[in-house]
Amino acid sequence: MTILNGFLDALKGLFEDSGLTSLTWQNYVMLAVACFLMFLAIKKQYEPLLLLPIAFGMLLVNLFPAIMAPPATEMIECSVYEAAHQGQVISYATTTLNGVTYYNVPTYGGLLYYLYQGVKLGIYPPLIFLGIGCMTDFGPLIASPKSFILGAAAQIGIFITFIGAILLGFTDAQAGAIGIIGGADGPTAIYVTSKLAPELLGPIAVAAYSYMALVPIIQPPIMKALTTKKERSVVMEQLRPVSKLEKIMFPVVVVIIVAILLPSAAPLVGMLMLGNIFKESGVVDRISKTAQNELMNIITIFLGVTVGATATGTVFLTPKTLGIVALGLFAFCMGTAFGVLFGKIMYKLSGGKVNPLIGSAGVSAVPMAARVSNKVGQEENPGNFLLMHAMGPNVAGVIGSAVAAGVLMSILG
Amino acid sequence: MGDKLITSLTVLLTGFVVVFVVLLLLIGIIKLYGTIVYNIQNKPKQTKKEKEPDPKADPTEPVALIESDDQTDENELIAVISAAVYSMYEKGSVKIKSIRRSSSKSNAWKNAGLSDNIRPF
Repeated sequence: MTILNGFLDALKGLFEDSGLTSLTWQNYVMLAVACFLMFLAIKKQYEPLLLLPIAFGMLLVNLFPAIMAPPATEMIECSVYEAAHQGQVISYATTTLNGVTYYNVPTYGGLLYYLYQGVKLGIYPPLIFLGIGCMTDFGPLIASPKSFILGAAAQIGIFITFIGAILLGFTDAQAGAIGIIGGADGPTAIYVTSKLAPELLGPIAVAAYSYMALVPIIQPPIMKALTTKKERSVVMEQLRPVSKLEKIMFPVVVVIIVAILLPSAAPLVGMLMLGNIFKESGVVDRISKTAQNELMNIITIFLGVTVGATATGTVFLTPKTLGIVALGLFAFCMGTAFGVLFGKIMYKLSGGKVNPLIGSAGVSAVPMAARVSNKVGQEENPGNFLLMHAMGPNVAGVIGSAVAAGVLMSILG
Repeated sequence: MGDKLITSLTVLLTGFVVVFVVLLLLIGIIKLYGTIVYNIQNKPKQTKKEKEPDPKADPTEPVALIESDDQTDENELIAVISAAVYSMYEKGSVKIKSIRRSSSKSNAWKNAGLSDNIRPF
């Protein structure tokens, strides 16, 4: 009988510890959201490298919230502790309350809490930029530097959303962090938020990465709405070849200009250009391969899972967070729209030689946004390859959003 | 509310202007060094050409020159194709009678080259 009671007590304890009693309705909603994002990543293949770890991190934290728990101190009565540990001598600090002495026993944080420190301390974003730099060919931008204008135009969404966020009652720093979602650059958004408004890191990171992954859904309707069939059909002239020397000089020139004018953008732009000079110099092939493969993949796993793990139901499903997600979408749409509108201006000024669709690639989600420009262009003319032309504004957008981030951090930080 | 609006418009204006100025500056500098590098890298070739005029490049007999080049190329091409064919079959089991250029506009090599160039994106 005693054994049966013990067994039932153990079962009761297991049930009480299980998620069946501790999870709230918000957790279940987030589980459904996570499953939907996994469906998009696996079945629809929307940026699975990002979306799958994010969605799984979201799933994990809503099933087991303690996986993101910070370390804490538990007070255990000294006699109880010593009895449980056969009188082993302990060097923990003690606290005496009402004549009873307690050990302050430290408990460790959850696994993802520790991995999340790279996000919180702003370490992962520059490392991701290092890998991006190694993978990016700035050739199209060097061949057609006017692409920088489109990369700058797509950043206007950031500053317009800033106004929207201020009017909705967010503080200046919070509004700056929300606006940067419009840059469609996950690492930049995380970096700026960790400096300006760390309390919003979770929702902003989830919004930024989700929108980056959803570029193929969000951008095409805006691009089609703002352009005519004739504009979308423009076949652009082939870009001039770029010499190796020009490609090697590019990262050095950019980092000097940007870091002198905007020191706060130096960590992001500096690492981006460091990666690029690894690639272009051709003398550190081993480092370049490691940075763009192993290092990038490891950081992507840590970043994706921990960003997803910030989306706990109770924190995420609040009007404020949903407002951030909505503002982020608005910022993203505005960035796309301004890129396309400036593309139209360039179309007019060039006498119809520039296809305005490449303007949307200025939002810097590399290389998805450029692929979307190419795809939308091919819907009108299957023989039209806009990819390399769109890569110019696309990589200019990366530099542009890092510059915009530097401006926001200088003004609001 | 008035203060907030002023702050946000200030940020909008500053951000807009600074981002454009920095990127326009980069456009100017990249164009400048692009031109300098292009000139430096192309000058030696031009002077070399001027110093050593090629007698074969005489415009009066370009056809003969092209033909002789083509002949060399064709011989090399035949050798390469024969080597490739013989390496696929056992020695003596195959006899090449003729090699004709395919008229097909899209060939496998072209497609492979194209897909190789656009694959990373």
